Parts: sequence; structure tokens; C-alpha cells
Amino acid sequence: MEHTAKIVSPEQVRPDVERDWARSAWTAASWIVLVVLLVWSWAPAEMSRSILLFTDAGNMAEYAGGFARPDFSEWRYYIQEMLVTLQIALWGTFLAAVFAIPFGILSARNIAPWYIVHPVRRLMDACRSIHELVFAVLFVVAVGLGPFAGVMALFIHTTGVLAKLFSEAVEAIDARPVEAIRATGATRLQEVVFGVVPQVIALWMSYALYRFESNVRSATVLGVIGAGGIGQVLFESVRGFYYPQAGAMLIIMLVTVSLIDLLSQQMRKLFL
Amino acid sequence: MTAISIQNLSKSFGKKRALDNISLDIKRGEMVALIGASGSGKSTLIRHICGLETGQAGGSRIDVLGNPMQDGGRLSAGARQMRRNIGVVFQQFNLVGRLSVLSNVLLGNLGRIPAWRGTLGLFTRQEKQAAREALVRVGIPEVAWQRASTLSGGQQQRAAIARTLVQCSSILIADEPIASLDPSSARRIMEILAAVNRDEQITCVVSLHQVEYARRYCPRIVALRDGRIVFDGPSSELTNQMLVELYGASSEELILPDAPLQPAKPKRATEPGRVAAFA
Repeated sequence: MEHTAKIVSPEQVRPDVERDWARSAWTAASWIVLVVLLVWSWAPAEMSRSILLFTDAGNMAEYAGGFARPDFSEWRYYIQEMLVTLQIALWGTFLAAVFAIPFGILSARNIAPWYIVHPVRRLMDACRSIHELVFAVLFVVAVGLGPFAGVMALFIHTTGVLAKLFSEAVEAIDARPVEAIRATGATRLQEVVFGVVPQVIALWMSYALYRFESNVRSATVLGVIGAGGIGQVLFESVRGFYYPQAGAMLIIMLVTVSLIDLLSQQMRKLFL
Repeated sequence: MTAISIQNLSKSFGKKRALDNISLDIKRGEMVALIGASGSGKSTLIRHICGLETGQAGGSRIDVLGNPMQDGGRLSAGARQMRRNIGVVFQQFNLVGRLSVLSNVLLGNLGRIPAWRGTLGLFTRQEKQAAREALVRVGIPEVAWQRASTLSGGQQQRAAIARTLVQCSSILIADEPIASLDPSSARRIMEILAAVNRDEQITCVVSLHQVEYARRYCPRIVALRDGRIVFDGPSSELTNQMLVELYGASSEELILPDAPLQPAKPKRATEPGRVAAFA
């Protein structure tokens, strides 16, 4: 041992830190590409108007000033509409969670064969990649103006999102208890019900609650295109220059969304 | 009558030959130990017997209780029904952690009751009673309502055995049931398995890491090395000397260094001390 130790002298093993030119070139190139892209997009995005933010700041202040004195005289009506928005989000999320269970399981690679996984995944991609607003416009045409169009829009989009999250949870399970259940002679469905679902149910609940949070936010925006709820009332008051009323609604929305966030965070902690 | 009959079973994982032309017959009511160093193919063999894995095409065949389980690398159509006749206890991670112990034990019924009732989790009073009795039998009635994830390793194994008791299978296969247990829990598990074999005439196949336990509880030993059967006979014939010859350096893994060499005991009539342990 001593002998070999002498052969490898400190001078020989001293690491030679050389500059990695290829790496530096790559870094520089990436920055250049980013700068080129930003310059290219400057004019089409009308970024030159950004100067107006400062020169015409007075206009903004005046506009915002209209909201600064909120008028709560019709707060009962606002709260009622806020509740409608919550109810839209609740139904949209509930339907989505129910449908996301079979779709999520069928798009999990460790449960379903590839010829089912791929079509189901593409379908869910389609649901997810199209924005709620687009679906809402579609459903307004189909079922008319009102909350139900909002429910359907949230339902379709959220099903796509939850199915993906659900299937990822299923793909991360421990396969061994499932195998133990298979060894009792259980059917495939029973393996899922007793082996898979107990392992993922807490995570699923947490995901569904999180989506409810975000759907409350989305539902307010959906009101803008006529899908009912406080969003619709808000949009109408802004268009009619009723800024104090709009200000009051904004405050109610802010408080509600924050409350829901806090509540669902606490509930999700319970599940996990 | 044969409980398990294996003919020319081979299996490779990539280039590694996990099982190499295994042929083995196990009679009804036997208690057989499957021993071998880690990686010798014990678990793979067990997974094949209960139809969780299929052997190489061509010649590989496994019959369970006279019916084909798999033939030529394909599971037979009746494999799912046949699995209910084989209770399996895995090394660990047998139980669904979030369900209660009693629910886990009740799952042993799934293969025997109508599928719709099992899927909805509707178990009859008798089935629930049987599950409670099974827990009493393995000595852990007090944890019935706990989540399975809260049990100790030894308790988990006992709950898994209770599940196989509920299953009313005629064959019980245990894959390294005592590998991660302390000595007293390990003895407990082995005694429960021996009692099940003795009292109900259930065929038991137990894979073990340590030959002492095999000698003490199992009249017959099948030893594997590199996927081949290198010894098959009465456990009294398998001496430490022979183990060293069979396994060379890796025999150290199989023999507890300071354990006294225990001669194999023949099956004994019920002994009062043992019965008390299960009450």
C-alpha cells in the first residue's frame, strides 16, 4: 500500500482547472438569442407605449381614484352574486373531480394499457389546453347566458387538469400492496378500489381543493363574458362608469378569494 | 396429491438467468422451506407460483391443485380464480397502509365473494366475524381498528397471515416473512405458520434466509442457487457442512454464526404452550 501511495504524488493528482470554452460559448449564445427575441417583439407588443405609464400617470390615478371610494350601499346584492360565483366554482370543481377519477386512473401508465392511456391522455390534454374562457363562449352559445355555461366551462377545463394530476399521483403509488390484493384473487377493479385509491385519496382531495381555489378566481373572470356571478355585475358597472360600485365589488372579491385560499390551505393540511 | 407442480420453469431478466429449468413437486399438506442466498431466485419462484409473473415460453408449466396456472409463458384463463386458493404473505409492504387492519384482513375475501359485493366493500357479518377470529388467532385482536401503517413489522406480518386465513386458501406461500423481524417476532411468525400447516393441513411454502429456521419448522427444504435447485430433501439431511459445499463463501449469509445446530424436529402433536400463544 505504501508503495502505491508514493507513485501518485500530489503534483500529479493536482486538478487542472481549465476554462470550458464550449460552455461559455453556449451561455453567451443563449443570452444573445434572448436579446434578439426581445428586440424582435418590441414593436409588435407596442412596448414603446410603456413610456405612457409615466407621462400619463395622472390619468391612471384619476381612474383608480374612482375605485378608491367604494360604494357598499348595495352590498347584499354583491354578496349574493359573489355566492353565485362560488356556487359555479363548486359545481364545476365537483363535476370535474368526479370525472377526473376514471379519466385519471385510465391515463395512469401503471394501471391501464398504452392503447387506453394514450387516447385518454390526448383527450385530457385537449380539455386542459383550451382556456376556460373559450369553453365558456362555446357554452354560452349552447346553453345561453348564465351560470350554467360557467359551470360547464370550469367542469371541462378542470377535468383535464385534475385527470393529469390524479394520474400522476396514481403513477407514484407503491405497487406492492396492489400485488398483495391481486394475490387474493381480486378483480382488476377491486385492485384499484382497495389497492390504488386508498393510497392516493388524500392527495386527490388536496388537488381538488386547490382547483376549487383557482376556480373561484376563474369563475369571477367568466362573468365577464356573460356566465353570471359577480364578474358579470362587475364588468357591467365598469362599462357604465360606476367605479365606486365596482370598487366595492373588487374588495368583496378580494376578501372572499383570500378567505377561500386560507380555508382550503388549512383543509389540505388536514388531508396530507 | 400434489399441491404445486412445476415443470421446466425458466426465467431471465435481461441477461440474468433468474430461474433455470426448475422442476418441483409439493404435496398437499407439506411444509417446505425455500432457502438460498439473496438473488438465488426464491422470490422469483414464488411470484411465478402465484401467477404474478410468467415463465419463459416453451416448456415452462406450473400446475396448482391439478389445474394449470401458467403454461409456456402464458397465464391460464383461470389464473385469477386460482389465485384465491393461494394465500401469499410478502416480505413486507403487504398491507394497504391507509386502511384499518380489519379492512385489510377482510380483503382476503375478495376472491371468494361476488365481485360486485367485494368492489363495494360490503362484507357480511359472518365474514367480519371470521376476520376478527383470524386476528385473534394470529394474536393481534387489539389492533383491529388501527391503520395498518401504524403496525410494527411483526404485527404487519401477522395481519397479512390473518388475511390469508380469511382467504381460506389451501396453499399458503410466504416470501421471506421474517427477513426484517427481530428473533422473537420471527419465531412467533414461524410458529403461526407451522400451526396453520398442522391444524388446517394447509400446504405451506416459506422462503427463508436463515437455515436454522428452516430446519426447526420445516420437514423439507428446497435450496436454490443461481436459479437452480441444488438440494431437495428432508431438512435433517442438510448439514452446515453441506451448505458450505453448496454455497461456498455466501453460505455465511444462511447460517447464523453462533446458533446451535438444531436437528430437524418431526411434526409434533399440539403442544399446550404453543396453543396458548395464539389465544
